[in-house]
Amino acid sequence: MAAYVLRRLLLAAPVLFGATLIAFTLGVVAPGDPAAGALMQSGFDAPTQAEIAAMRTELGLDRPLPVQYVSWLGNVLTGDFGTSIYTDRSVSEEFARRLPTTLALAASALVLAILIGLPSGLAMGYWAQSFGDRAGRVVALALLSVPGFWLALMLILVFAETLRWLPTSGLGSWRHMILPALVLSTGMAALLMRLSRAVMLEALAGAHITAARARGLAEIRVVLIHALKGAAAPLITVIGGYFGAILGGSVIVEVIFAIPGIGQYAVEGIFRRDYPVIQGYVLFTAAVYVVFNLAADVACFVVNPQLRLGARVA
Amino acid sequence: MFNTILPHRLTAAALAALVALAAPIAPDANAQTREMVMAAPRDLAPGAEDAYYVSSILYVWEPLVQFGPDGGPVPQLLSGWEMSEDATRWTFTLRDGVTWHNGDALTAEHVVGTFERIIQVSPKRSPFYSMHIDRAYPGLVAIEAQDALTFTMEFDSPRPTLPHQMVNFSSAVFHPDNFDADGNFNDLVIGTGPFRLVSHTPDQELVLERFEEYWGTPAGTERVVVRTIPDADTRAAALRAEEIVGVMDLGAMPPEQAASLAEDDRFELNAHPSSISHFLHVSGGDGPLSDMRLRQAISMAIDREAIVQLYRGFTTPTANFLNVNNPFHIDVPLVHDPEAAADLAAEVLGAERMDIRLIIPSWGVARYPYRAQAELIQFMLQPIGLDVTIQLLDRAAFNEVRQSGDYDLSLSTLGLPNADPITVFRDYFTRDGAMSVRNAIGYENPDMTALLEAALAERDLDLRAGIYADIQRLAATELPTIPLMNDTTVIVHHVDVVGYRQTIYGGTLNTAAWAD
Repeated sequence: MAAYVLRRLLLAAPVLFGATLIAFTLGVVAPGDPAAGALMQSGFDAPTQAEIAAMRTELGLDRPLPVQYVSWLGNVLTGDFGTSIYTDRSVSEEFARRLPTTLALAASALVLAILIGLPSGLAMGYWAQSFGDRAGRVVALALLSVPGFWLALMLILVFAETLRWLPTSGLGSWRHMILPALVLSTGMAALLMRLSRAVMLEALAGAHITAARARGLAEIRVVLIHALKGAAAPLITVIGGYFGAILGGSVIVEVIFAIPGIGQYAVEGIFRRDYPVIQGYVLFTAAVYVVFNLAADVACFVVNPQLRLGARVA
Repeated sequence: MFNTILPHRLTAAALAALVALAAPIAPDANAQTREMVMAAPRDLAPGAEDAYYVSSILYVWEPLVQFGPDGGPVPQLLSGWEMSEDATRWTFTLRDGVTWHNGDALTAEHVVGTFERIIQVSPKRSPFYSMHIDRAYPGLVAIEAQDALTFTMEFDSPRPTLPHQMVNFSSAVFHPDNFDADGNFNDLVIGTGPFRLVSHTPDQELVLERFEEYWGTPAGTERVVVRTIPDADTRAAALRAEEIVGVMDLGAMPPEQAASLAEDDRFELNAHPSSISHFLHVSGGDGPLSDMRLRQAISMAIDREAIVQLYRGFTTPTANFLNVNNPFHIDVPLVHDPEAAADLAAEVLGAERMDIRLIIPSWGVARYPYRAQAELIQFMLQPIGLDVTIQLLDRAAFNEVRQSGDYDLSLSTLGLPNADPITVFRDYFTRDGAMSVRNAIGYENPDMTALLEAALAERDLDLRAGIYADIQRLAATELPTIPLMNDTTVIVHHVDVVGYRQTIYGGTLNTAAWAD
């Protein structure tokens, strides 16, 4: 087990290094001069070329690119992502301030997706070809097809503006999280519905299920223990990968619902060509993907005896 | 068994969830009776590292000089000023009885300290206006306190329009104890305004409370919460849901949403021309539009009234470079004559047609109907032989393309940093002017250069105003850039709120009060 985790961690290192290189390069090749942008934040200021040159020097942008990269990487290794070109505030501190909000949103969305997608998908698989199954498949397709921003506006219109059951935006209580989490969870919920339906169908057709039923085990025990055991690995893999993807999805949701999370920060950074922010976000997202994929792999390793056996053989 | 039990359990769970969800939010009586909750599209308190900490529209800090009703300078923290005969020395007298939010009395030493900080940190970044001593106070030699309420400023050359240059952000005054060694704020901002900032959660909300020792008319409400809601649709929804009672800041309510809200009896609209103007910038130099006749043809071919309709009437058409709210603005007749435009264009193009690249910035699309505006211009220029291709660029790419001159036309705005237009005249109408370089305008005319030099040398304000008028006329003829409209800022508020009106810059949050 420890050897398996260690091997995966070693494999993650070059991925993260590649991410730093891509993050840095993206900032450099993207059009726009961040020094000029910083001096023209209001859109009405008119800095001279000399002032822009001075700002480039102040920001260290006049140094050779390899020097900039090594310097940035060195700081990143100590947890310092630099200072925002626009706000003059520490990017690391901003991430630390915003991370709990984004994580809370992502976790809420994940819980909702699991609560919606998993039981309904399993039920659809169990009662395959019933009316509920057919309706569920249509719903899953609709959830996958609906654009997040449209759904967000519709939910605000219905639940906040018309019914006034929930707030339109902002933070404050668990109620503020419901609509954004719902929007963020729809894609995953639909995916889980389809996936869990498929694994349930496959599991129910297995010989061990027939054997379990033949032994006279209660139907609920057959389904929840024997059938689901085999379905756990693919579900864990999908859920693990989703947590990284949710960060990307949170960008639109955070802007629409006025949630000051990492997604909103990244959008501002991208629009402003705020290199340190963009670089920090890319690296952060890569790290989240790596960590959660690793966690999913370890979880699969734990629940799936065949993987453990394979690891020993390897 | 499982077949029958599970659906019931699921139904019960679903019902329980629905019941929990269906409980309406208990209205916060306290918020409705005491707190006035507003919203803005951006965080109006960028914080300690910002030049001003908060925007002037929150009435936390005050400037020495403020916009008057006609856009000219009026004293705010001053009781008066006096110019020396050679216009190089100004003596300012502070209003007596002004108290800082920390209880100290405002003195001339505090003002000197504020200017020392400006000198220390210039140029200091801000999303409102950059703080820059050389641009706001060029040639400043000394600033000294003469007594508790009097200070002087000395310049190396005449500055007859100094009060015009000091309007609003240019003369923001802060308590000198409010800064650290780097010139950043060391705590929540200490101002002299009718509101004091009591808390700030970045990018989320800020809370203001009425400052009871304010020297002037007290604020109309005890406590104001300003939430940050970046998305315009969400802001409109929050208004309809009555979570907020008003909006503030530039672009607070885009024309489309404002018009929609106007149909709801619960809301009132208030619009006021701002200090922002809309332009069709022209890439000059050796570009295809360097021929003045083509620029004139474009200007005549554009039906500005039609564009105004895209803004739901919340702009006014103009042919003048200088914004209508500037005290030196003159009226320039609007000319819309497609036939004359086509004739003029034909003089340059002959029977040929010309491909034109019109770029628009993504940030503008969020605030203005730029897409429709660009398509309308595309349609209007087609008959005069110009085939326009529209390209939407994000802010950074837009700025880079503009500066490189790799464009023909661009939709742009200009906000006046203060009430003296000499800075923007020089920025646009000289080849090495900052805006000329930034937009690759490349305009140069000896007559214009002579007028600019004459204006700078003129000490008499009336005579200088005459030169400014000549500059505007020349610009309206030669069109270094093509003026389109004067912008109007629209705010929307609930009818339960009274005394909240839009001004040239910001709303009257200080007089906003509950109707009952």
